[in-house]
Amino acid sequence: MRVRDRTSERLQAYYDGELGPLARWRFERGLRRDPALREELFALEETGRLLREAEPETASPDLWEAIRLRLPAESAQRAERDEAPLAPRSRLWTLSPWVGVAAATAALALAFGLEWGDPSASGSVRWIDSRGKPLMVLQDDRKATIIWVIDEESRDLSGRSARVLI
Amino acid sequence: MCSSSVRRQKPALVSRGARGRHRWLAALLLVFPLLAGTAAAEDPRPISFDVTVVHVSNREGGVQADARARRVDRIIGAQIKYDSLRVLDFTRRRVPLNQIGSVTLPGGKHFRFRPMDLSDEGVLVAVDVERSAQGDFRIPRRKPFIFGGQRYQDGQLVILLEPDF
Repeated sequence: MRVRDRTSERLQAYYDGELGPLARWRFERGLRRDPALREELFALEETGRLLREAEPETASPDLWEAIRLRLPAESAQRAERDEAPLAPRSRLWTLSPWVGVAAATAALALAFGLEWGDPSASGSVRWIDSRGKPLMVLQDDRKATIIWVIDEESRDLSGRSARVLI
Repeated sequence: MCSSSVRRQKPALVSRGARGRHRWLAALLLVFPLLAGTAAAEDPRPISFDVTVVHVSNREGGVQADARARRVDRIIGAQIKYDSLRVLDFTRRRVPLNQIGSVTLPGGKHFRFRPMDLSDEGVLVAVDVERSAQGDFRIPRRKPFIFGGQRYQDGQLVILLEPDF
């Protein structure tokens, strides 16, 4: 019940533009994963729209971007500062699939007495979202991590070799 | 009577001071781990991040005659094909854990990053490239984390983030 209340509070804060940039980002990630939450947000927006009796706006192709751009920066920064001490723990727990995989691997390694390798050899990417754009992780080893988001406009330049063309 | 006064005096002389010391010791033992824990949880030491912004394009021009540009070319040249590379910006940000570092990219968009956790494996950083992509990455010390693909002028931007701690 308390979790639900907190989620509702977050939703309201998000709707009012009171979340900090990263809190907002986290919340948007939750939104993408939770259809019920999206519905709640939609209902909030719908209510607001009816109350304002405004002219209907043209449908935005990217609702989240549109919302993000309207958020007031100052209150967002303040909310971010308020939230900062709790953030690392909660952020880490949101990496649950990777944490789960890592934990299972560690358990297997311990169970079968495998030698644990150099931790620096593992890749850097824990979680990534390119907002629907094509994305490639070109390299993720101890030397470097290279991530490339393919811009729709530059697609016509690709296709000459195995390397990424720009 | 006599024995009872001796019994009363003995603890008073011997253990009153000791009891006081023990109380202080106990208080210190209780408080020290709390203080140490708080300090560890809110480590104020800033982490240094080198942010290099590079422009690559298919326009003739080669690699800029600059040590920084040549180094970037050595790192990304095997993976990305381009005809020209030039460094547009280099900046060093010292960002404490859970604070946000921000760099304005050419074109006005923002590259934001937030170190969230520090371990032997590196620093866990949340990265947000405005209107492009976002993610969490565990970046070892001095390992270049490279993010590219944002359209800019006749080519693309490449952002290098290198933590040092």
